[in-house]
Amino acid sequence: MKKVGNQTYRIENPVTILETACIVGPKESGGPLAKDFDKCVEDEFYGESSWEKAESRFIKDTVDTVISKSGIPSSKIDACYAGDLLNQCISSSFGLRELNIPFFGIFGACSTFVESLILGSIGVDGNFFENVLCAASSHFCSAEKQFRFPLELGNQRPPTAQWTVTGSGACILSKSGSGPYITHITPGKIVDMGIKDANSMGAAMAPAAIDTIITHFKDTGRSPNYYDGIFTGDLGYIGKEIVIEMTKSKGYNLKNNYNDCGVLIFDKEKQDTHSGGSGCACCASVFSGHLFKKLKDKKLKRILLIATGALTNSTTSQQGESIPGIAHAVSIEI
Amino acid sequence: MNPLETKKSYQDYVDKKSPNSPIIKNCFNAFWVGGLICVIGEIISQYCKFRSLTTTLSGTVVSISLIFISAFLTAINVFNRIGKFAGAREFSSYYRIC
Repeated sequence: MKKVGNQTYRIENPVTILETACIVGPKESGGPLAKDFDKCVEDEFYGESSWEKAESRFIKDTVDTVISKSGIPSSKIDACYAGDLLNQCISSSFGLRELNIPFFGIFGACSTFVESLILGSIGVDGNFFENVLCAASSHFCSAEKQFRFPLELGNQRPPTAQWTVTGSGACILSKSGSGPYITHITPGKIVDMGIKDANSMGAAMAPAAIDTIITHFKDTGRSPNYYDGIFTGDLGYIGKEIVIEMTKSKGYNLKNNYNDCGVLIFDKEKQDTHSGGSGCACCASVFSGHLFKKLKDKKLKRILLIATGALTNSTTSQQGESIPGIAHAVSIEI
Repeated sequence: MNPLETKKSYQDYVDKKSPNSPIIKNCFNAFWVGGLICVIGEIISQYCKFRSLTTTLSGTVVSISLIFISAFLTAINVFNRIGKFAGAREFSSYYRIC
């Protein structure tokens, strides 16, 4: 691995994304990307007695699916990086407690999936690991309950609110394989521009995304046109617009090939999802389902994936704190 | 000035970008749905008085009935839809009044 510029690292030993899997909930199953997901579950409880247990099952089943799809026995997987939104990352640790693979629980809010890809590729590139499992999950009901209001209250959602994606995405990174490869990683810095509204996450996270995107271009010397697609994790419609405008003012025109996973996953008008999707599973499922298929089919050859996270919790919101944002980027090429 | 320069300018920029909630529509719906619930409460109350219950006792019956109805509607996943349509804050304040 070689440092390029201030904050970006070039992967020297190829890290292949061997296989991906994703399982999503009922709302996502009705969205425009439904055909790209491995499994669409029609029950928010996923046959369990609580939303937390359901989320654990989402990540467990997704991980089982990716392992069986890859054909690699779990004994050959050296490490697992996984995380979610619930306190102490219980969805991942409870869901994967029978996995029997060395486990690192990570938290980067909704940026967790790309954070796990970055950590995983460092491990593989550094010859520490042969195969690494990366996974993330979120659940609309458990997230609303923890971060905002009980669902039964039927609270009004403002137009800036986003809909947490129910589901999970997972992938296996490997030393051997013929691509798509992770070629560059740009871990992001925490950026806080003082947004306090927990219903305006896109605006809170956009400055971090802008910072990481511009840093990535400066470090690598690449321009937005180098990529067939640039995808942020879950900025939604408002965050997406902010990113386009602000990067343009700094001289980078993203308009032609940029989109946001939170915009792609739902049909805003039909599904009443306001500003789009969010949550760890938003980026994880759109990448693992939709984008990975396009890379495999060579419809996309080079993409920049930037997962964005709002590093907040309900206590800090109640105490009037602003929302620090973070964004991690990986460049994936075939 | 670039909106990302200061927190204040960014907040102003975001406020301009963010669409507002349809407050007039929400208030109107909250008004008539809230009124309708009061009418239902009043009907129950009048019926109780017709059955010779005291005013205090009638009030208690109204509260119990409305709380039961909302609990029942919550169980069958309807209450949150009404709440979304009519505005939840109105709902909770209504219960405090009754």
